[in-house]
Amino acid sequence: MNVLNLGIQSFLPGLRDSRTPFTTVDWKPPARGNAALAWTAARLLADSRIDGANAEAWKRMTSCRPVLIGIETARHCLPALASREKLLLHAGPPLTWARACGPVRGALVGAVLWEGWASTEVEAESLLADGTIALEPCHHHGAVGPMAGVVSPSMPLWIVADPHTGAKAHCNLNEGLGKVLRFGAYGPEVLDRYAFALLICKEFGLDASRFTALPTAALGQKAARPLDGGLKVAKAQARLRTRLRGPDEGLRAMRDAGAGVDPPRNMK
Amino acid sequence: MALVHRFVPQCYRDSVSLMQLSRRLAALPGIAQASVLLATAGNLALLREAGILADPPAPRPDDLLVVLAGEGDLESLVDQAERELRAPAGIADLAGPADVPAAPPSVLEAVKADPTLDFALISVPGDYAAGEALKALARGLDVMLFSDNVSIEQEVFLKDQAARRGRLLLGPDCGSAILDGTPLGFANQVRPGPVGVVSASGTGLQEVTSLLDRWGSGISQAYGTGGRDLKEAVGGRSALACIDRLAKDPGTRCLLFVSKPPAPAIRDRLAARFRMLAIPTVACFLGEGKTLEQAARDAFRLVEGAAPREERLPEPRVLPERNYRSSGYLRGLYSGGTLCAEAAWLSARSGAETFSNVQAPGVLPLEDAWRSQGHCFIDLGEDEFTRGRPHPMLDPSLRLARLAEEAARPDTQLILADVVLGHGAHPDPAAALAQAVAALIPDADGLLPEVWACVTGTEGDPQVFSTSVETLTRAGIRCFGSNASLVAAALGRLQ
Repeated sequence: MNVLNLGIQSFLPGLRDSRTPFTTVDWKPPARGNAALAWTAARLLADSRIDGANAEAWKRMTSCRPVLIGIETARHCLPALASREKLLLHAGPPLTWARACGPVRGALVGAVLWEGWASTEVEAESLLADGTIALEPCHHHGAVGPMAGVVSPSMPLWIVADPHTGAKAHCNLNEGLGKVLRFGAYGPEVLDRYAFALLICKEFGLDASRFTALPTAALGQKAARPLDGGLKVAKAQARLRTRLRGPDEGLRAMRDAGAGVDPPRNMK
Repeated sequence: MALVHRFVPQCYRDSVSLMQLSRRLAALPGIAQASVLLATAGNLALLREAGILADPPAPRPDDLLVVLAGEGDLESLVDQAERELRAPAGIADLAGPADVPAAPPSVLEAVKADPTLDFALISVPGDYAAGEALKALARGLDVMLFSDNVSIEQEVFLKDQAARRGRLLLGPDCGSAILDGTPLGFANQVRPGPVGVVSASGTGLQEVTSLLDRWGSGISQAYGTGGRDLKEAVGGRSALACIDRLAKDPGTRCLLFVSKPPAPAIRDRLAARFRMLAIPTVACFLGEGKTLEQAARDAFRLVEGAAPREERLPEPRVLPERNYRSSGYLRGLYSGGTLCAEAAWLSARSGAETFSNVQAPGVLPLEDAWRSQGHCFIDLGEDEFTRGRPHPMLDPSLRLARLAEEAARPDTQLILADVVLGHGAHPDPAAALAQAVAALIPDADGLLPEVWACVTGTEGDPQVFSTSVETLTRAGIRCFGSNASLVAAALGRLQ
């Protein structure tokens, strides 16, 4: 017998005297003393289906070799966003506006403004609060909202597939650093970045089999820090003494480079 | 007089440790009141009812609260209490110095660190006990749930979980068990031997296992099931699981089963299970026929082939200066609930009108447990006495105060008390009772009641049976080796 003791410490001498090995837990009321919550959590921990499902999920995650299929506007790749008016998908389990945390609320407002369903944030909030705009979890629709991420019909999404199972998943583009929708920011600079992402979508909606998404660790590389943002175009032009292209022009050049077409000379 | 209170956030100590700290603080010069407790809504309500904190703060159920009332530098005393509470758990001095690994913070972490753990002894507050038991069952441990205040729905759920996983759940409210010779909870140090015990009563288990040990036999396993197991709603789930374990144990040659009379459907199920066993069963349904002592005696005869040798305890010392009352009532002051119920039942069975705060056949309910009437048996471990106070098996102060009160009443002829030894209990209950009896003051007529005691325990117990008996007899207390023999002699004295 090897005894685990939780609670009264004066039971331990009896175990010691009978030479029974024991461990004592430095116990504290679980769930910060919320007994009902502690019982719910214990029932989850004891549910053998969850252990089994976790093992299966871990196996699928680690054995999957995901391949990037391409980029597509959400309404074209997620049927629910095409068929239903005013639906937003959000990170996490099902929620209502009233129960959403700050960052998710911010991202939801940003998405409403982006879609043009409202012109002010006050208006956006009231549409969300009164249920005019429906909310469903990304996970119900084969999508992922990273962090506090929200998916709306006109957002571009990465499409990734597992060739072995045919499973497909969709995810917001990474907006880079700074104020980002996935942290709930929705100012003009955030929405501008989405406009830029749409341009990428337009230019690069082709030959996706070249891209395989892998964890950085699988490449044996340290993740590089993305370049610093906040480039001031006019200042840079003055310093470099060269003309900087606008986003669409630049992307077209990049696409041409990818296709083996030499860039115009002044790009060199 | 000043009053201070302070929270000690995110800190936990068990109920016995807190009681000990409270008593130590209360004994300091200038201190009128000291309480250290978990700051739950229930405990704060108790502080208000007791008039200690007129306007208690909001509950913080995972913090401790220190309350001190008195004169002097209370703040620095609270500092000292807080330091003590923050010190590592009291296990360090048990396991030896230095290289004791830090106690794991949870069942899951503990099992991860030591996968050979196979048994959990759980005595955390009832609100959390079922959850902890479930975590232990899920990790493959058998569980003894000492805690009470677990709902009957949780009890049934836990017992079904245990059955599905092939595990054992003893309790809730399981006060005593002896498994593979290991005493768990309140339990006595008994010799290994051929009798397997399943008991719904903690002190019932202690009484029969101690008697068998002192008579020279021994115990293979003694399982406690908790008092509610044989109710219709729980269906004897633990009792049946324990019997299954004993049936597979080659060292067990007799089953001794102890409980209150079960619900009729459960009784039939038990009887059918007893008939299927390859070993004989002695069933003691308390209040129906056999006393605990008779049941232990029957089991002894089955395994040893003869009746146990009569135990002779020393006569009490004669105290010439004391004059005892020659008429009046029996007043039983008990710390063990089952012993109290047995005593009341035996008294009522003899034809004496008997009152008690516990239920037993033929026994009338006591109007007010704080005031005796007629022949009267009081279980001081009942809820009305233990709210916000430790159990009398740990802290005899309430019983000793009641002893003085009963002794002063001219209608008390004889006071009966149980002295329960063993692990987990008070370090020297015999000395505490002896001192209190020595301090009794005769009434205006110069008279006192006699005090008699039954002693539950063994020579292997930390308090040692024979030493305890000697302590008691030196104080003029007549000692008996069983509750039944104590009550029989007391009833004989009345006639």
